[in-house]
Amino acid sequence: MLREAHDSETTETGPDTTPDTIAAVATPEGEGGLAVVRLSGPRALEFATTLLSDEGKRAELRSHQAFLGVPRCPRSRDELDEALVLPMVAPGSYTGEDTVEFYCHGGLLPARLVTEACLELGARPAGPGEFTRRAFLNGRLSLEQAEAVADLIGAENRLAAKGALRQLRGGFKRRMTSLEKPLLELLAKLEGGLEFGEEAELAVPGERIAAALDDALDRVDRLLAHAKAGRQLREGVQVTFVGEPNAGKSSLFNALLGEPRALVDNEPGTTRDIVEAQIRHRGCTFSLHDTAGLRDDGGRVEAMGVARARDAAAAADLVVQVVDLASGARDADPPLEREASVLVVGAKADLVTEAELQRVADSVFVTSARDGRGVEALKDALHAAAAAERLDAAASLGVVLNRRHVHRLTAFRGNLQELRANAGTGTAQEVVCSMLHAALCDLGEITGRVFTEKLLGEIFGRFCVGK
Amino acid sequence: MIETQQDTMTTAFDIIVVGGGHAGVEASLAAARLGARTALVTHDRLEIGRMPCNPAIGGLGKGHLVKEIDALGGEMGRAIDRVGIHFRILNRSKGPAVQAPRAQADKRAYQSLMCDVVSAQKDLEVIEADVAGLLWEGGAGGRRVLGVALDGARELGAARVVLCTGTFLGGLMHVGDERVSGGREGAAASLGLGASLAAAGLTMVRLKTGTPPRLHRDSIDYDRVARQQGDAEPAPFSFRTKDFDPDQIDCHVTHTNPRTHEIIGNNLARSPLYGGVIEGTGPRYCPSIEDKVVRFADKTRHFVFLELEGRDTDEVYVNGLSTSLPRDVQEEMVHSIVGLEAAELTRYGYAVEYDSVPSWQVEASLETKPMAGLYLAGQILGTSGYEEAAAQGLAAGVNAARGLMGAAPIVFPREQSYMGVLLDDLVTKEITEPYRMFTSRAESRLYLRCDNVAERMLPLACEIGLLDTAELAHLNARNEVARHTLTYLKSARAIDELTGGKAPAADLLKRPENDIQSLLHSDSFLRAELDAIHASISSGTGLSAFDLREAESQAAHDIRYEGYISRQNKMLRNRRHLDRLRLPSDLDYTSISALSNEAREKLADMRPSTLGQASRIDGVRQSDLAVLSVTVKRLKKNDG
Repeated sequence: MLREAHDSETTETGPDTTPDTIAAVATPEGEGGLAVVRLSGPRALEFATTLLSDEGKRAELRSHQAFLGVPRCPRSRDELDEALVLPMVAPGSYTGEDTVEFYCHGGLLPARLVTEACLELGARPAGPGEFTRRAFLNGRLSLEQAEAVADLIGAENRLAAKGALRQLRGGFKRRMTSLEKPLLELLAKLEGGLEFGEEAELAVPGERIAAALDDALDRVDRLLAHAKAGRQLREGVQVTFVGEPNAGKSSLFNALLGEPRALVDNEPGTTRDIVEAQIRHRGCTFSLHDTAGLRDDGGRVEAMGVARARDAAAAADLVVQVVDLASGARDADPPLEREASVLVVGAKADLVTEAELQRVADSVFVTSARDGRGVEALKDALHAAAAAERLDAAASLGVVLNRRHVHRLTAFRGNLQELRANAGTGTAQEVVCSMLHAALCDLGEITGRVFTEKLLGEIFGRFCVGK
Repeated sequence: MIETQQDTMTTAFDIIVVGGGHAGVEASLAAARLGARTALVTHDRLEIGRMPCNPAIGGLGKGHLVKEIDALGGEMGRAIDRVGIHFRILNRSKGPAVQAPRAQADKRAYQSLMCDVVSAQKDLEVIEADVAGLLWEGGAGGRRVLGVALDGARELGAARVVLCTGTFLGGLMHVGDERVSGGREGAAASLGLGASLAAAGLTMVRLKTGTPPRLHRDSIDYDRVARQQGDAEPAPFSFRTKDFDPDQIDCHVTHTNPRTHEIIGNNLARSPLYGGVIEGTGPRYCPSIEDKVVRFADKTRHFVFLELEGRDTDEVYVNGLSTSLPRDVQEEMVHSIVGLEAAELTRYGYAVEYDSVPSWQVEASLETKPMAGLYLAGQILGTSGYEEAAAQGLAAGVNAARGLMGAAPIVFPREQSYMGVLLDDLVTKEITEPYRMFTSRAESRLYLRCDNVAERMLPLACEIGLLDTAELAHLNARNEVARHTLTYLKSARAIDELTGGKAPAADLLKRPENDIQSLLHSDSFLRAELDAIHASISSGTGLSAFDLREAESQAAHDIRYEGYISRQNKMLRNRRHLDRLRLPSDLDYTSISALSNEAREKLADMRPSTLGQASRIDGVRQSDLAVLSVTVKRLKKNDG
């Protein structure tokens, strides 16, 4: 029997039959300075070429030839990082598909930016273990590896199940249900009308459809608004240090950390890359990002660091703008456009007279990395500012959205908007149903529910149908 | 196992089909037409192709199935076209994917036609007998069917047996508190076979279904009920039907009312269902009137359709009034309805309970997992409906014949046909009530349309080989016309009635308010161009004007739904990939500790044959699929 099953197995599936292209940071978050972004699937090479090409200069990818590349934001063309790029043409990759790996030496943030850029081009965030799953399916793992990974997946599965359960028990589940249920009822009514329209009176007025969709859009918007707060709870509040070169950002960073993580030197422009570290204070996690000083006349690599600093600041929840009290540059305008709150911190207080400190104390937060002055108070201030952000609100709602949730909800929202635009314009009801079904499937990927049977249950539970 | 005794007479066939209902007819015809020496064993040859419940074929999902059966060379569509008395396309006001033909049959004519077709079929012998049990060899490790034992001392030997026993397996009929053993009114149940199936290692469950009373046609007050006419230009089910011009008869519609509901409510205790006598699970979508009154207490009326059962019969089917209440209550209930005050009940409604074999015990080929060579089709697998039965009968007959010839079973992909949806659902879903086809079961519903059945089924029709060369040529030409029409329309410009100017035809067709026929009507140049294209393809292929119009609609719908369909396909691509990875049938799921508990239990029960099937089982997660694929790889490696 076994023999027979194997004999009838068709050829090993190659990349041309695999579904779509996926991307994710493939190294565990929060570990090491090097983060690997893996992009795998039929369009991996195409996406990578787009990311790595500069105006008029098309990137040439050769399988298994690593090179130093500069991935750029697909829209703004801003540089995201300078990364070691390793293209691997199928089947010679981990997954057995066309794969491009980006070794981002800028730590987690650039890796995330590169991932987001891949998603923007049309890749899908990889699910847990999905690279490995593809590797299995394409026969890329040895027996020993496969067994080890199977056990690991099993263990992860159990852990994830626990985690998911916790999440689904709380406010998140209620919110998902209140989003899903009215739409499911609407779909059931519409489907009932299609299947049994000739036998019972089941028409759904257009305004009812529109109202249900508007309500759902409103709910999903509110959910997505909390996504940022949810991420803060899980990944920590991102605090980015910005300022002129040699303002003392890195010293302050090290002081907050309690260890010399960032290189410090009197020479301006020492920090070229983003240095990232986490601290906990009063039960809240902060992800601190030290960046290159903001100036426009540095070298090429430094310029890259500056661009990255701007990106980091744009993504930050809180921006600490460091000014050098000793240089008198403290009145400089915040050089960045951003949504996040800005805390202006004066560094090198030990180099300034007491009278001078008195003069600026109202407008800047005074610190000294050398004598530790104001460092603990700065932590308190960060905590207070973070709390003022939506953290407390999110915690009380119990809404913690991870990246996949946000991606799914965003897709769901897009489907819903398209549907809203179509409903009532004479679009056939079967198309409306199909779009609504697709939208509900996006939710189903979060809640793990299957729709067909549930839908039929709804139809029959609700109506008197059938001859 | 039944020992072969010295004094038994054994006749040898290639394939034995048990049961002459809609599954059995298609199974036996398909097997014989593919060259297998086939026996159709039935209680009464005159009952072949009988419609024990509603005298109609088609409807949403079901009409789609009949068109697919027809395109593969099955009989049902052709037969209903010849003996139908009322044809309608349902949902004409809705989108093309949810439009489907439905026809009422002249029940007796349908039966006698099917009996004639079966009797005239070469290599098919009808044997009137009761099947007492199965013959097989081997034990729990691997059983293989050898034939069937008939009542008396006869045996029929065959390497393939297809059971299409409908509601006859352990059948028990209920009218009020009266209980009669039987598969349907006036027909004995099959009792021995059930024991045989249990001994063969198959699990059984009890299901129920019901049928309404029949009325005398002359006892209805037609002035007090609404009339429903058939389509003025009726469309045939079969692409092989020529010169279709049926003589149609009207149907009528009335309603129940609060008085009817009161009578039912007062007598619920006397209903076997509510008295707790029937234990089987009934279908939600075809509820008895008792069910409807209880479950939908806020509804003050329910539709009742009056459908004449044939040209020369006096019986009218009372659609919507399925019941197992006692006779006196049925009388009172019917008489409370407008137009039926003086109606004469010629037959009473009844419920029937029967044994079925939960379908996870068969492969998608419909061959049972515990016994090689044994196939099941129709109600025995827990489905409901003539069309669902016929579709399975065709698949089982074809696959049994292919099995004999050493050919692989036909695989019907879910995204290509309702037959695929049906067969895949049977092997991946836990069916807890009689299964009926709905269009909402199909993920690719926008593509699974009646208008493109030629395109969808042509490759399978070629592979199966039931159609003759001329029929295949017809189907192919029909498909080519649609293809060329599509290509032409994509590049053509047409008159935009809104502006009076010209616009790309494809853009115009995407507007919901436009349809292809009105577009062609107002643009004679376009009409002439298409006519020329059609003429060049269809000359000598026997395509009718109906075929050509339908092909035009298909092309227009393809254009309109292009974007949606390609999006759907994108979503379904992953599935096709998984469907190619086979799981060994003897995989020991209980030993795979990395699977989640729920998945392990479900998989051990349902034993999917591909990773794709596994992925559609409720409770099986992505991570479980990963674990499964590893395990299979490991087994392969060990196996050398």
